[in-house]
Amino acid sequence: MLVRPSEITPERVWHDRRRLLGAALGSLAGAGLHRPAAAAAIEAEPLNSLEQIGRYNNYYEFSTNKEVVWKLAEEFKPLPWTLSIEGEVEKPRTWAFEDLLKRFAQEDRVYRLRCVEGWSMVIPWRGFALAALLREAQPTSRAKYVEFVSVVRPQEMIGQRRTTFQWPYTEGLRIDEAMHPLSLMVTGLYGQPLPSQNGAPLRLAVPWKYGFKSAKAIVRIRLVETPPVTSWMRAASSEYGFFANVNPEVAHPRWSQRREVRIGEVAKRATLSFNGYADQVASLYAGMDLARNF
Amino acid sequence: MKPPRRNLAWLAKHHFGRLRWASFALCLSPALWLLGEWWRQALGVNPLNRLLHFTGTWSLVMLTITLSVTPARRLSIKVSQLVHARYGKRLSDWNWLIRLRRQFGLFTFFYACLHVAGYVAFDAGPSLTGILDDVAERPFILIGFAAFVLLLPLAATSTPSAMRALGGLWRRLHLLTYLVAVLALVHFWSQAKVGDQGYLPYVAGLGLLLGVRLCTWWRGDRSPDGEAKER
Repeated sequence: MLVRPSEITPERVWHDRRRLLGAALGSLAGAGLHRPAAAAAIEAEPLNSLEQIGRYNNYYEFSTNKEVVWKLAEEFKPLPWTLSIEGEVEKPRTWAFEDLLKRFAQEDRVYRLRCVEGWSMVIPWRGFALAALLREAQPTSRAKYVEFVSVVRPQEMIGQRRTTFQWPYTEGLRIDEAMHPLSLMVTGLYGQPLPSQNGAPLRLAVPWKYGFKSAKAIVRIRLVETPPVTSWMRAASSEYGFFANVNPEVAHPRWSQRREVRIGEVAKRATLSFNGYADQVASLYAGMDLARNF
Repeated sequence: MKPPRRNLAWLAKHHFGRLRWASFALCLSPALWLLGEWWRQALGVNPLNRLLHFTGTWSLVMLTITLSVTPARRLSIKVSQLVHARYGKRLSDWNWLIRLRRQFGLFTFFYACLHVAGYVAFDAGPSLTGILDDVAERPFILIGFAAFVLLLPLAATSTPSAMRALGGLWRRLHLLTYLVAVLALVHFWSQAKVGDQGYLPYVAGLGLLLGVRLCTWWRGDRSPDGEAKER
């Protein structure tokens, strides 16, 4: 998709707008969260720049090297795109990407992104609630889990020619996690269409989980009865569990989960439980042993 | 009597001071490069990562160079015997390489110090509990620390006076270098993420050098003909 320079909201304008919104609860209020305190907390954290967000990407479909993904992703043609909703639903459907934009109101939301590798960003996503999309499909009573399947295009995604993973990349959520108002289907950032290296044209943002749970370039959403096996569980089940909630108490063999480096800073800072979204999501896991269900 | 030919061997012998300075500058240049990136704020999107990977990798490179000195000398002697080069014509007896080895070893230590300092100052806090948590939770950090601690006595006994004082013990003590190499490789290897094979060249390089040593040790020829005694 070609975007004329005049259509792009400059970062500077975006920041100005955000400052104005800040007085009126900020963008999280739009998520239907009646928690001004939480909104204020993230409003106080500076946004990462479009350059930082667009030049540091964990996207194995292109490369394991985060700093070259943006260049390799120039080969990727996100449009035209379709998304199919299938499995345990009353109304399975294949959506054209344009129809999704028309049907669901797009809103801007500022989320923290915490990568399992110990770095984080603050990103102004644009998108719509995953819950709205799922409700439209009317999940049956057997729909307990949601599986997300990403695109396979080795012609355009050079990393897929390697067999580190069994492509396609798949991820999953429990149905109550997927229906949570924080779970966002992302179509853009900084008010612009999503860049290819960030998962264009359609990705997920689940801010209280490690970044790999937020699948990119999604082509299929399947509602299922049993927990889906995700790509990372298949690749290294001892390191990556199904839930992958941000949890400073559960160690990873390579990266400290107690600390993270916020991109733009040099020294590390403490990692927050559920990435700072504990007030909104901790109740989803009441009574669960989160050290075992990591 | 003809004056000696001014070949590489002659150059190394008569201008060793300059050679040593040139080598010093070369070994220091990666650190200066990193300093330049810091100065220009060009360390990339994740400066901490760049800092730790750069210093750790260069420490490993210097260690590889240090460990390749002896095999390189042996190889040069074998080659000169093969082509029947006369003394002075063959690439010297390469004693100058042995004399540079201490510098390589100390640069291994230097980059390891930068690596550990970066980790302590920016990654772990600096906080003691941060370091202790890491060591307890992540074995590769413990292994890295062990490698660094083993480098300390090696660096401390690198002076000529320490070598004289320790005598035969010095050589045995400095066999620790091999252990450091193995620990450093495991440290590097086990921090690499699934699908990342950037460690392979280092494993191959150091593995080859350690393999060569195992072979010569197995065959029992510790000092081929014509090799000067290591000091």
